[in-house]
Amino acid sequence: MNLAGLALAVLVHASAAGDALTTPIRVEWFAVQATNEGRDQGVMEFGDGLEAVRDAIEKFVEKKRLKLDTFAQIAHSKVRAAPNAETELAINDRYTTFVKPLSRDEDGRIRMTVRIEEASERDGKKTVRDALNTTSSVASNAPLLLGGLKLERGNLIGAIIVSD
Amino acid sequence: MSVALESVLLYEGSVTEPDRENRVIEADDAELVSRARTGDFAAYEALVRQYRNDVFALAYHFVRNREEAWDLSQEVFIKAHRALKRFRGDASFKTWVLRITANQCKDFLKKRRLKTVSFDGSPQAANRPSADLDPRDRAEAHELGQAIQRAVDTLPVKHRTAFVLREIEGLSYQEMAGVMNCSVGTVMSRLHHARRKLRNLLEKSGFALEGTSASKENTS
Amino acid sequence: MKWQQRLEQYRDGELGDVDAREIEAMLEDPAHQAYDASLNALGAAARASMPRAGIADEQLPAFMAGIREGVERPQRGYRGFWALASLSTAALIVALSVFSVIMLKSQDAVHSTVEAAATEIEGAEIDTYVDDDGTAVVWVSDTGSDTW
Repeated sequence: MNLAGLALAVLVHASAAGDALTTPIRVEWFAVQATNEGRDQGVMEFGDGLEAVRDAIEKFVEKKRLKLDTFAQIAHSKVRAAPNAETELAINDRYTTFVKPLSRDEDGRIRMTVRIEEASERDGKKTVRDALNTTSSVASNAPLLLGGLKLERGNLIGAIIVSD
Repeated sequence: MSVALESVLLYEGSVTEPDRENRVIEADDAELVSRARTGDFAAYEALVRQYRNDVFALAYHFVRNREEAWDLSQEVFIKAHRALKRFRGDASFKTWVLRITANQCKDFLKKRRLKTVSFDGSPQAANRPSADLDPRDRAEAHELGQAIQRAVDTLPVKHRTAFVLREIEGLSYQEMAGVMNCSVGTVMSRLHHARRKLRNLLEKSGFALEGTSASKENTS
Repeated sequence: MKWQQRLEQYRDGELGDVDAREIEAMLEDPAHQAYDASLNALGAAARASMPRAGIADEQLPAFMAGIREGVERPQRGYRGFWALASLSTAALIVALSVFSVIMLKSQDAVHSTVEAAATEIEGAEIDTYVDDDGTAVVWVSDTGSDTW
């Protein structure tokens, strides 16, 4: 559905504030290059290091019938993200991710903002913009996937796993 | 003292011979796949029945535990069913489903951080030399079996896969290339490295590979 | 190493008749013979020590039952709603709200949820999705992309 020329005013559903975080949250970050290699076999190929997020990515790609069949890790980090502050998670020269844990809800999910910043240069001028900015509540048993941003080859899929 | 390998009793449990013949069943498989895609589960069951031992045997070679191999094999067929729409039939169904198996085992081993799989000691996996052998030969046969399994377990996954697919499952280089998603040249290279490493390891364990048998060298 | 791989190909049944004659000549060399013999021994020892496990016919119904259960596991679709927007000018930010799909929460898994998502990419669309395992997805798609 394409609503060209219109900016939608939408309700922002504010979730419950939850409990304030007092200690850093462990965040594991995967940046994945997803491409379409036209694999004859029809089976998705995952490179090394993606075991923790493979099932989630595979399921989503299958469900949405995305034309992606090859996945390679381009960045991986494990950090302790302090509450109410942005922690940087590197991807490449073009994209950088910033996570900011905010609170914990009654189900133990970590409410956080995740921002993927894109740096580019146009007409000799460097610009930075938010390619993706989300506020989500991430459960410890299921990753948050962020994707679709263009890479030089293929698309970027980011996966965030949180734990205490 | 050399051990007559044909006297070594293999372990209990279901044992099947690998199908080394080139069976022309691809046309039948194509029809079954086509029907399975439309929701005909009986057709998919026929495929599972046909290839469950190929899948299970490969999984078992990696995890050396019957229950885990069982679970892995079921997951493989569940994944294959989900992916049926994308299977174009350029390779055989067998090659395709073994590729899923190899990937699944690779992920499983990494998740469990199983770099070496210890002999689990379950009755099905125990290597029990024949009662016909005298105690010393039985002990030596058991030792050889353990040495080979230990040696294979130390191989990197890619080399272990190549060795198992060739020597135990009897796949051709072309089939192996399909399962491992690499070229035939890479298959040959991995096989060669696997064999070389295994020979070295067995020799270090005191087993000489000569003639048509392996035997423990008499070091006394 | 090349002659060794040649012998391996031969032993693995990968060479034709013409090559086989070359191999027979090669095997007149004692060192090559020894290597060939060791290949045989290694393969035979491995097959004896690592026999092929399988699933007996009587175990097949139980095996199939597990597969059927996995195949038939309902893929419950999300019951949230999609809100899509396109941007007409640069730097417009589209705020998207997605109501939680907590009602899909299984007894075992807590679902991740997406509260809001936005992009500053001109002409891009945002989709969100939560699967029945609780994985939440935020997907930015360029209208010119051929990913979908």
